[in-house]
Amino acid sequence: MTTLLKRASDEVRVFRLVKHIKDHYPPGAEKPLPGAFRLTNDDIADGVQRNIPPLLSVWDSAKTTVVQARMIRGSVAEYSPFCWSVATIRAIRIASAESLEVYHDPLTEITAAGACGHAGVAGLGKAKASKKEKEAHRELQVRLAEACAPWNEEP
Amino acid sequence: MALAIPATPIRIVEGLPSSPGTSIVPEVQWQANAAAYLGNFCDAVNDAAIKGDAAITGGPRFPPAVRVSFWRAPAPALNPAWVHFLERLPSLGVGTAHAESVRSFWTKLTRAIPSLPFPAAAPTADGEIQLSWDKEQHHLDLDVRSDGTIDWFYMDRLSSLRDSGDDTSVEDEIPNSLHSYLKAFFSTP
Repeated sequence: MTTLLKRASDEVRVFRLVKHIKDHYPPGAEKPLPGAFRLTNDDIADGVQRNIPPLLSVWDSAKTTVVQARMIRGSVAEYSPFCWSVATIRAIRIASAESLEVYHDPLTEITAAGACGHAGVAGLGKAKASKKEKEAHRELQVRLAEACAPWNEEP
Repeated sequence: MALAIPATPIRIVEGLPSSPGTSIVPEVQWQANAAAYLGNFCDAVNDAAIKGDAAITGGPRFPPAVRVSFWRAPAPALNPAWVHFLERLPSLGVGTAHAESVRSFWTKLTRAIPSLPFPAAAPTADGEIQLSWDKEQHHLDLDVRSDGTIDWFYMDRLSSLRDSGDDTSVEDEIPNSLHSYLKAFFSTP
């Protein structure tokens, strides 16, 4: 149920692991493309199954380190972290689309360190979206890509 | 009609259609004459890289001046980094046929729009290959799916115009709307 999801506070900083950033064209690209912030078919199916908005997977940087997130994702080296504050994500507004929202979504089914910091961005897609809704979701992906920054953890 | 086509855009050649006739000819017919002249020329030289346009210019007069413009779009530059990106796609989990779809669609794009700059490109989480262009207020991205279909999206940041399409195959002609939006990213010297 949506009511079981807890909204993240504005000051939380979340990061997303983007695969293969080193293999993007042009070489040395500093930011991911909008497609890095698109919900997968699995994300949509997960939302339907749990009766929640489909969520784009991100991590609360205060609860999960990049290394932990990479380990949970099953890869140490292939993922690069990009971040936003939750306030920045909520400030992304476009015409004819609902605002983005960030929820805590801890991975309760696993016990790995950092699993409690999993979170999700809602508003980037849904099952059976209309053409206009899909275009709004695509624009939100563009805006997320523009607003993100490389995440460098404190040692 | 021996016109020298320059190797780089854009050279303007101004001229008048022949045989003005004795009656007033609608301007649109002059323009059609010029377009035919242009088409005949391009057919004669049989060079797909030659582009042209014809338009009535100047104020009201007879015969009207018709400006015929020719240019030869530069051949896409050999870009080792782009070639390397395409060659590496299979090592990123992209199937050989899918990688070939990306390569052939890029070739089709550059034949249609020779001055189109190289896109930013990367695989998406769902395994599509995304090509993306940004210039001023314009953004366009398109995904080449593993089944050879194209899913594209255009937005104008100033006007909030959005458009998209997802029913095109890499084998099809480039849709007029997509072609039109891609013009926003032309490189002009």
